[in-house]
Amino acid sequence: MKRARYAVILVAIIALSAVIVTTSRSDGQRDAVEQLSVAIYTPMVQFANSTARLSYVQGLAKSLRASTGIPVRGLSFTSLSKLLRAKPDFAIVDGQCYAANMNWRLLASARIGGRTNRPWALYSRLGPSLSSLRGKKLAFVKTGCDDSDFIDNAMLESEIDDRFFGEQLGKTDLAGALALVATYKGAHAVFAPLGSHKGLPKVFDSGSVPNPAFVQLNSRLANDLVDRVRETVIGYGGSSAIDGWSAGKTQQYRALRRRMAKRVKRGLFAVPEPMRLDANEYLIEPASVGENDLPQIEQNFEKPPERQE
Amino acid sequence: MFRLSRVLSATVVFLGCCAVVPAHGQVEDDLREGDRYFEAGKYKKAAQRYDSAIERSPGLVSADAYGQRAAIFIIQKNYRGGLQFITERAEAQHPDAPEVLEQKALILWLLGRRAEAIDTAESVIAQKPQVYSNQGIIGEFYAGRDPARAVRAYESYFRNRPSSLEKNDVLPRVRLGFSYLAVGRHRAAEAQFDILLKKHRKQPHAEVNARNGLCAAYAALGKYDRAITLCEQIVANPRHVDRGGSVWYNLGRAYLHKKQTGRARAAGNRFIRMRQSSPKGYLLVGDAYFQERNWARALQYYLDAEKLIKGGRASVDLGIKLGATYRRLNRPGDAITVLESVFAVNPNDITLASELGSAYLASRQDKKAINTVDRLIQADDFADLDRADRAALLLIAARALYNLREIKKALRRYRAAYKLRRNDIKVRIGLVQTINLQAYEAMSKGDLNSAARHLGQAYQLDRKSTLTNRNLAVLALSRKRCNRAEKYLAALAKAPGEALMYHRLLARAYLCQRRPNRARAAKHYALAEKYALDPNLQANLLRAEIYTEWAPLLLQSNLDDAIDKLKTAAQLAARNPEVGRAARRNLALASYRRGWRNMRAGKLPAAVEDFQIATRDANLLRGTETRVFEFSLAMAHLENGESNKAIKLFNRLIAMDQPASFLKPPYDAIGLRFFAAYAKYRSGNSRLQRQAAQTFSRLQRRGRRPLGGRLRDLTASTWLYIAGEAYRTGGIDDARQALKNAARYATSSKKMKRVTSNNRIVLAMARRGMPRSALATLRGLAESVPEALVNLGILYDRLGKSRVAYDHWIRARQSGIRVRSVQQWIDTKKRMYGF
Repeated sequence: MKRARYAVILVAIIALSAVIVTTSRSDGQRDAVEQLSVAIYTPMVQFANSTARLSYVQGLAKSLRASTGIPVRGLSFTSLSKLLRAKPDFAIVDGQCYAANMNWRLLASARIGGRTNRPWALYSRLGPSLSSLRGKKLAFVKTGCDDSDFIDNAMLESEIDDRFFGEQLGKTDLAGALALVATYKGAHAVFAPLGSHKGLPKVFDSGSVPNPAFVQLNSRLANDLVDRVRETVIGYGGSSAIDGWSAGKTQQYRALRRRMAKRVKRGLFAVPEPMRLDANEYLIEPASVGENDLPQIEQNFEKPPERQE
Repeated sequence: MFRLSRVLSATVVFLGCCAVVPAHGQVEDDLREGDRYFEAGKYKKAAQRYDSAIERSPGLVSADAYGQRAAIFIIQKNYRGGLQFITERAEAQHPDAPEVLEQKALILWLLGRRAEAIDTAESVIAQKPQVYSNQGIIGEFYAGRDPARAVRAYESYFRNRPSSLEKNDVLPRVRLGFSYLAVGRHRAAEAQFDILLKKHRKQPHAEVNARNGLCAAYAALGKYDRAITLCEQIVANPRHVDRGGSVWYNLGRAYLHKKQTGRARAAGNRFIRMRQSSPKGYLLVGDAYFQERNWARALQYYLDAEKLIKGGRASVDLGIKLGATYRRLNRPGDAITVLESVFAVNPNDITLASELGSAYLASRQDKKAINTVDRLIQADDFADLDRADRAALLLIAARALYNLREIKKALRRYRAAYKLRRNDIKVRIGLVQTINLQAYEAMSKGDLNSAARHLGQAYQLDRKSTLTNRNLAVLALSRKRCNRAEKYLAALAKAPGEALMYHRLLARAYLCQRRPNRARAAKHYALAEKYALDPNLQANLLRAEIYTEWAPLLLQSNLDDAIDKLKTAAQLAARNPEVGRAARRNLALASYRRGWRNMRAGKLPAAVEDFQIATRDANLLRGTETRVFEFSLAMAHLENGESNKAIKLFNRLIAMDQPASFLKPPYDAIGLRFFAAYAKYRSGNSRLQRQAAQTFSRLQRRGRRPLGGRLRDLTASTWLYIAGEAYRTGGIDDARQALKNAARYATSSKKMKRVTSNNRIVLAMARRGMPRSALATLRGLAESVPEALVNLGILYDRLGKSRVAYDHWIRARQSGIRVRSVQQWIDTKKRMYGF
């Protein structure tokens, strides 16, 4: 009797284990995660310095560890290519770069200044006129994410041909680009988020650019883990550069993607006024249209009362 | 107490003087002495002398002398002695002598043996009517019993009594007066009471009785004011009111006749209190309530009276009153029950028959009504009846026959009644209605001549009859004799309740004249409408007729109002096929007109709606109307941007396979296919536009050039649309080919040529950055083709001339270009360059 009971218990344990194993493997055959990594490459975000950037991402990694129970490394890179070579599980990249790589899974959008996007403008040390920049040098942040499309089409709306500026000088980050214009006078104009440099006159507004995106690079992670990561990121507090995170919405990145496409002005076809016909020209109104009917008058013949009393 | 003695003695003396006395000296002497003493009033001595004569020779004493001796007994108040004398001595000699029997009657009367006295007196006056003494007691005896008998007796009394006895006239005249009242000889009664007041006012009982009697006489004679004055004076002093309280009754009757119903009721109730067992008071109060139209209370009092009435004429009268009251309470069944029960006992009473017949009519028992009165009408003595009675019976019979639709018989009865009472309005109205019914039946069968004939008869009877005049007017309008209609309608102008028909028919009369007076017709329709809107009249169908006829008069001045009216007419006449059809047709015609008005004003959805109404019911339309209206609807759909619906309609018209006779040349020659193609041309659908282009080409190729350049221009325009759509969807080669086709046909239209040029350049711009001579060409087109300005701007933009490009786009916008991308370019330039 005892033996039978033990046998039953053993069989149950085995069966339960099989279920657990099967369940854990059934999520697209996800790998067991021993460690996670989250990397950051956001040259457009003005952290105080690279250390601050690293601290930020490490702080985030710590939070992720706490929430997932898995060790998380926080990494900071100075170029997208380097980041990609490191094959992190997650990454924080500028909006432009996510717009250029929308096959990544968006989990959250950074809030800067309370918003998930920032208005950008063209700043020039020569004054507010665009014309004065003909032949001059334009500084830009060289992200490696379709930079020329970003500048020529998203920022300049394909309005200016590539011969307008004399030269376009790429820098590794926004601070560098701004400094090139404002401090070192190595360039005359730069596209930057509004308010990023007080001293430079604005030439024109160039539209909103979405803030950095927190994306999943490793598609083999379990969904529940990714969900936890997302929740953790969205709940993560801010720093001086990034206020916080909001649930990611791809529309703004798609919009930027579209803006980054070249726009060609198409000629306008002239359409003639439709030729109209005058009814008097073609229609014979029947004479009977004037023949209104009159009701028969006979029905007004009064019938005497039905009864006399 | 009637004092006859002295009078009789004189009479007897008078008679005795003339009497022949049997010859015997002593007897003669005794008798002569007796007469002398009697005349001298020495009755004892006279008695002795008469007795002596009678003792001597009883057979030789005359009846007069015996009578005289009997009178002395009366004078001496020895009534029993006198009676004994008469029965034992006088009657033994002269048993039936009136001179003796006269005294016997008087003695018996004085002894209180009145019945015997009257028997005796009647035998006396049968022989000698002039014996006033006996007439007097007869009159007194019958005064309360047999008024007619009392009247005869008293009249004889007054004729024969000596004038010296006049001072004793009070009570006789009082009795005679009241007896006159009782037998209905009210004037004679009045005379008696007047004499009393004139000659005997101061005598006891004279004045009070005379005034009471006059109160009754005045009331009976219809002198109501005098009756009220006098009767009120009497009742003011209760001691003057007779025990029977008849003054209250007479006063009440007088009040009632003067329509003072409240006072009549009060007097009646006073009478009831004094004579609770008399039905008269209840009848009086009931009549007062009846006059006040308080049927329930009237009925209550009549029923109280019924409990007290014992039969006779009074019950007939009450039966009539009850019948009339039940009818007014809308209880014809009860009326009939009462009247039938009384009529069963009084089957020849005319008033009752009339009342019962009327009750039968009210309860729709026409056969019983006719049976009730016809029996009396067919009776032999019918012609002997009063004219009013005969007319009343004939009227009931006529009405019953009318209700039974036996028109000819009804007419015979009516005509007979009319002969008797031409001025009776009920007869005249009934006769006129019956003739109109004949006319109506003739009209229903379409026999206008018969209808006219009947109405003519009715018109002769009553030229003011609104019924007849109205029907004559309608008949005249039906026969298009409109001036005559006006004449008949004049009778309705001021007739109460006829305003609506008057204006309605008069309006129609104005329309039907040879030269219609539309303004007046419209005016009268407007007036008729005001009356027709009264909800109490429930004249919805008439309103529909008015609107149907009136609306066409408003088409020029207020088309919208005309259509509103016609819509209302169609709704109101939904159940009348005749009027409804006319209303719907007129609505279709008016809607067609308004549809074109809306088309010309650019109100296209409204135009579509109007044409839809116009085409709703093809059965209402004539000739080419259906096709014209549907064609118009198709054009409205097309202009309203609903080209698919237009194409569908045109195809349907084409499928009818009928000549397009409603189209002017040259369109009639090319037919409806042209318009179907035109709709496709306007559709905005490339596939359909290609079909349109083919159709236009085919029509040209058939050598039908009456449309001149129109077809070529249409073809060119169609290809331009196709090119535009191809360009829009990226089909540059298709666009190019379409432009080529457009250029082939746009030979006569400069506009088309310019458009084609612009579009060709656009295609070239798509292929290469700066087409040769594009700038110059576009500059040449800029004034007439605003799109060229846009394209110029693009080319300048490509040349890096942003400001020039911007200026051209601004000019393009000012020229009416409203393209979103152009606006975006302008905004971008502004933002970036600060233009």
